[in-house]
Amino acid sequence: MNSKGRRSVKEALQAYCFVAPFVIFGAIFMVYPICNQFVRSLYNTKWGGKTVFVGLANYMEIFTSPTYLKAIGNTLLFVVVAVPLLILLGLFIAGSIFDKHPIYVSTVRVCLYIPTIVSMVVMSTIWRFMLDSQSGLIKYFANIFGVRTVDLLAGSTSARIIIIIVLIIVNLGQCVLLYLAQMIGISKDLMDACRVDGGNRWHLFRYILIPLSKPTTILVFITDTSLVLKVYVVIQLLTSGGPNYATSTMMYRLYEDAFVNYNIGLASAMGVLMFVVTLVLISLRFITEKKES
Amino acid sequence: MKTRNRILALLMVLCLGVSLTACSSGKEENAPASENNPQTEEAPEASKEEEGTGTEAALPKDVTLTFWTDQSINPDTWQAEFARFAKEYEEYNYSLEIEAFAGSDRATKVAAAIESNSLPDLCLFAWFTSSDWCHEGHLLDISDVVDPIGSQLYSSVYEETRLGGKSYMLPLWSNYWSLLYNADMLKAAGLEKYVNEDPNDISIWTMAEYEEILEGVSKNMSGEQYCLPVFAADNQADTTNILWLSSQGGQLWGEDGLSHAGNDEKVVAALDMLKKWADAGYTNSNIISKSNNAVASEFSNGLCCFTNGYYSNYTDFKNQMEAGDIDTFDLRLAAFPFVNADGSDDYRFANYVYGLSMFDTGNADQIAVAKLFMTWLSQDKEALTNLCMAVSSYKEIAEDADVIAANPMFESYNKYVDADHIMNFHGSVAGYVSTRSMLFPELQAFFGGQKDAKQAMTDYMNQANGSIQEYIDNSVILN
Repeated sequence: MNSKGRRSVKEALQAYCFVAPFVIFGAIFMVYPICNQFVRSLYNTKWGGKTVFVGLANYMEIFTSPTYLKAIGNTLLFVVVAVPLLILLGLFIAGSIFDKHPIYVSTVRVCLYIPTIVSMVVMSTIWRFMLDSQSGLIKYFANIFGVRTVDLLAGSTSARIIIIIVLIIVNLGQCVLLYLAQMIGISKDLMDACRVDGGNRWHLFRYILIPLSKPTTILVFITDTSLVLKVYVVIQLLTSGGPNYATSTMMYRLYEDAFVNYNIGLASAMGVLMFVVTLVLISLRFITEKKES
Repeated sequence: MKTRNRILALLMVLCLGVSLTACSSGKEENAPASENNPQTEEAPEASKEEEGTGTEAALPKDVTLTFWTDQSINPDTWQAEFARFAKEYEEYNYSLEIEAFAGSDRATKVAAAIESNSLPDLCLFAWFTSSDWCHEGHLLDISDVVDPIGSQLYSSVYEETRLGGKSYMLPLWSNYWSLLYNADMLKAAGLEKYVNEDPNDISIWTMAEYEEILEGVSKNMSGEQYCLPVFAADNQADTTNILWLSSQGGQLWGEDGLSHAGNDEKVVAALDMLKKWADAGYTNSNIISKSNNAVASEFSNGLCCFTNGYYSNYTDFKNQMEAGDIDTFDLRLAAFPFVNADGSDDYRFANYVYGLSMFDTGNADQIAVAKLFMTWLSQDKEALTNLCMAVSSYKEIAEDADVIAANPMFESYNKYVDADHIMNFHGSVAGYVSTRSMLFPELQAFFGGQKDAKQAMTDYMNQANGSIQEYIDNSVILN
């Protein structure tokens, strides 16, 4: 081996040593739990402290139980509705304000980001107070307009809509923040060129901002998909998965199985399914992106 | 380049190896749990040996017991009583760590503790929340502690805390679940005749009288006020729903240990009765999204006439009034009105038996000392009296004149509460706790108009029986 090769090995070794702590940390706290979850989903540990291999029985229970199927359906519904809405709203808001006065942009950014940093528990509790159909704020204003009975958490559809609205409010700030950062970095020459060519605001948005924000869109899609899939606190505090499982999600069922029913095997199987769903959704996005480019 | 790739591959393999070796230890992870089973058999024998032969030299030293509860106990009182016990074994240095938390956290904390092998040594919970743990093999058989004093306990309480002929709880007190109501609202509605002169006398009404009260009080209410809370948002206080569902003479639980809710026409009729009350305006309008957690605060703020609870809730409200935290009102207790199967009028309470149980921690020293403490406590009248938060499970203490003088309501309990008027709301069925998450969704579907009463109760019955059968098939006690 020549001296150049030796230097290269030494440099590479140094680099690997620097990343080793993070790789080991990731292996222990991320790779290991995921692998452990796969393994535990094949066992039942509920009875007498014994570990019994049950094979795919936990998965069969999930795919044959109406309540679990409802949870999977609700989860996919929330992802399919909430994530595109977040992307669209984030693009629209960021595209509307990115070239305005910096103080105005900062004010809007802060206002939208506050719900993101507020505790989800606090947020959900406040929403619960507002939505209380006996003495809540929304009912109070509805009464002013002559609407007597308002119980938005009692109906399946309205409860789902409320969950989606809360999810959007909590996550919109981050979307806008990312899109603003992207759009502010776009060269002014491109926008001037658009204006010179007779383009209006819509043309700017359609032909410059959206295409150039594609990397951010991919990032927002991945992070928001993950966030929506993992939603639990909002559902626990607002609806407890009801009415009649209408807002029960995979994460909610996972928590109930793991920490209420102590059915770790079943909870692990649900976790594996969530992992697969996330992987499929994100892979589809990457494949679509690759095809377009 | 080749060398660099080799190093990279080596690092990746090392990381994968770490995760795979951990994954393959499924059985080893549970080895401590499986080792627990032989230890649970050994531990009682060890303590028996110690007690029988008086070989105190065999007792472990420097032991700190962990104690969990979801009751609002006075930790100082428990520490004081434990100190009295510890003084008898001063040279062994025993201490107690108490952790109290909300009832809504109980299942989560215990599940996490089971998974992480960090269960407490002692716990003070209601029996109906603990019975599933017995079937799952997490609570220890403490027959050697309870059986010697069994004759001192009320027989219904003693029998309720036994499974498969063994005791799993040292019963300490019974909290009788009933209605609490604001008598001022009945008087304001011109219904003084239904309010007892003695404020400590529990009101006993027939179902017809109760409906008259609901109608009269509701007519006299305004704005956001409502008379009777009905709630189906979650499983909190679902005992109330079970009592109402049984109030027309129906049987939710059969002697076969299964749910009969959908097959019993009287249970279905009781559910229709609740809907009739809701449609008549006697109840809150937001049944589907109403949780019992909100009802207590609404009751204390005068938004509703009735609430549900037991003696501890009654004393809590009284204390809040004395402290000036809430407006003073005439707070009374009432039994749930019932109609027997033969149509005769009756009344019921539900009994929450609270007591000490021992988790199977697998630590022989901790188990030995915990059992020693429980044995001491089971025989120390002073400690049992000081620690009691409701009606003692010990007959002598419950009927003691000084205790009744300090708690005038107990005389009323002794007068009205007996085996015929206590409803076993959990039916002693295996897996009752797991069925609690199945009732409220069906109630939501019913009150939301998606199902009729028969369909809702039938679906609940089928789901509950699925879970119960799983417990029957896998229970470490029944098999």
